[in-house]
Amino acid sequence: MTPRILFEHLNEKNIQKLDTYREKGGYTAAQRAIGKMTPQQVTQTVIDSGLRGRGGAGFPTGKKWSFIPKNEPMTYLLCNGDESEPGTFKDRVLMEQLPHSVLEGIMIGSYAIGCHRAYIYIRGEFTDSIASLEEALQECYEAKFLGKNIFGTSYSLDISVFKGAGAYICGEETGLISSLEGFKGWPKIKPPFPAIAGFNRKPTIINNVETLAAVPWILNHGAEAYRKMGTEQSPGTKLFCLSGPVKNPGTYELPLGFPLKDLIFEVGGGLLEGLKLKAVIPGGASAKILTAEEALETNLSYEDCQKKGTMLGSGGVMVIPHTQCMVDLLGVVTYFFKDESCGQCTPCREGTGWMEKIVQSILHNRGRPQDIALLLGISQNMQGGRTICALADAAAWPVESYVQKFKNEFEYHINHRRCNLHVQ
Amino acid sequence: MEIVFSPKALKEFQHFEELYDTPKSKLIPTLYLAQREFGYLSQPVIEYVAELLKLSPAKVLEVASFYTMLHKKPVGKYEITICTNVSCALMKGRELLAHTLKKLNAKEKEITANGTFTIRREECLGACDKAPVLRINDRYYYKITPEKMDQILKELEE
Repeated sequence: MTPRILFEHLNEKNIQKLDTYREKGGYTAAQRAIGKMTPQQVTQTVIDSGLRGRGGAGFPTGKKWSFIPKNEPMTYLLCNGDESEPGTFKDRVLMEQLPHSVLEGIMIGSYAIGCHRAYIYIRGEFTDSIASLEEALQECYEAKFLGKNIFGTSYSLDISVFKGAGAYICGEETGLISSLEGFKGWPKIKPPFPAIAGFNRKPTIINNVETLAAVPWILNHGAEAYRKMGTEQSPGTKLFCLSGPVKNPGTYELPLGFPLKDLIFEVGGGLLEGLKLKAVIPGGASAKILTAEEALETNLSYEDCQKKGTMLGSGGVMVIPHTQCMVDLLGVVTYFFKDESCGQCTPCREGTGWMEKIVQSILHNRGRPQDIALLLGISQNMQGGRTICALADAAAWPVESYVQKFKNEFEYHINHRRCNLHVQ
Repeated sequence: MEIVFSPKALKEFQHFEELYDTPKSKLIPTLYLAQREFGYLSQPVIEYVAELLKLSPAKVLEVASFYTMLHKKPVGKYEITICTNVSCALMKGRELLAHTLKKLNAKEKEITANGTFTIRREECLGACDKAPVLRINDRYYYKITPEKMDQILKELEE
């Protein structure tokens, strides 16, 4: 039986409603944290639990909270619901189905960092998530769970929803801040880090939806109980989004460290009839691709994915069948990054554009033998902190890994002027 | 047409005061509101928003032009966005886009002759387990085959 933390009440009828959520024990964690614990105790519990950011980077959540300078009169908590990493659809499930667990997490996080004004930044396309959270917010205000003196304490908190407008880059935390400040979603140079000078130049914490939604359970059951699941370095559970031609695609809560093989073949039921596994993108389109052999030996933890040269990322697991041409697939990915590069830094703006052009030219059989080295060279020159944010790295990793691991397909296209899979 | 918010929109605009503790946060929500009121963000609309928020029109246009969900050109009655990213591409999302454009004899991002549709490709819509996915205005449609698409278009045209 797989443990359920985030999805504990997923299938309860009317769990979107405050009454039902409370019947199932909802808001007891927030009430206890705000009423009986100090912010330091709350932060310490989250540090002890080992919870790591679920947006992609995996930074320890409690540690992030502790970076807020002491006795700051004005701080912000921004809940990142801009879920745009290709292959990721977990935050949407939480926001639509379990809005109160997201709000309770925001309340606890806000209390821990001394914030009285929190925002939920939701990508504009997620109309249902926005409606669900706005309804839940209204219920909370009516029940006096939000606003002034919540739960009869001296603590006050307001939460608002902010609707994004269609830009992948706004999922990057400083891009999100720019957008919330009424600018183009251009990321900002760090330092200063948002915890020191973020939104409105005030100390700001940005946490992913899934990260915050895990916090109430941790406070209810304790850090130790959370650590009983997952691995030493990746405690707890995580939502994994399985997509591609598999029998049971969907969002699954699994303990970290779960074998990728079992996610695809047990939980996911394997590939559709007649298809064989060729490759797996384990953590959203930015993650380096794994060959089938590598994928079968990978466990879904931060450390094991890193050991295999890729990343757990957002948990967007995309299954690639043997019928898919990798040059064609890289064409899809490079188009995406070209389209979403914000244009601020030269290596990314130019690099993503040129990589897309070169991949397209190989795909359409105009490739030259030197193009493979050229692609790898460009991708090298985009990595390792040459740009303000990590979008350049994220765009370079797939190029590097597809070309290195499936070089024969690229060479075939160049040398024979056609695809060796006859899918073109 | 005079560019001025309806009383309902004006009320919503005033409510932003409560929702956002920082005046500059109001720009994107106001642009959304203007888009709903006036259909798209024409130059006079940009200038109206600038005046409301005491910003320069250049600044407002700069922001409006960055975001794909804010329209600087008129769009059809139904805006169809079809995902062509990895998971949808694996499940024939690109073929669906091509089929739809052909069926309506349309060009991407342009309004069809009857003014009914604007079609464009979209990046990951965050519903990859139900690929291929598309949106028509604010509604999601899942696991769409060309046959289902034809049916949807027929219903919308009626």
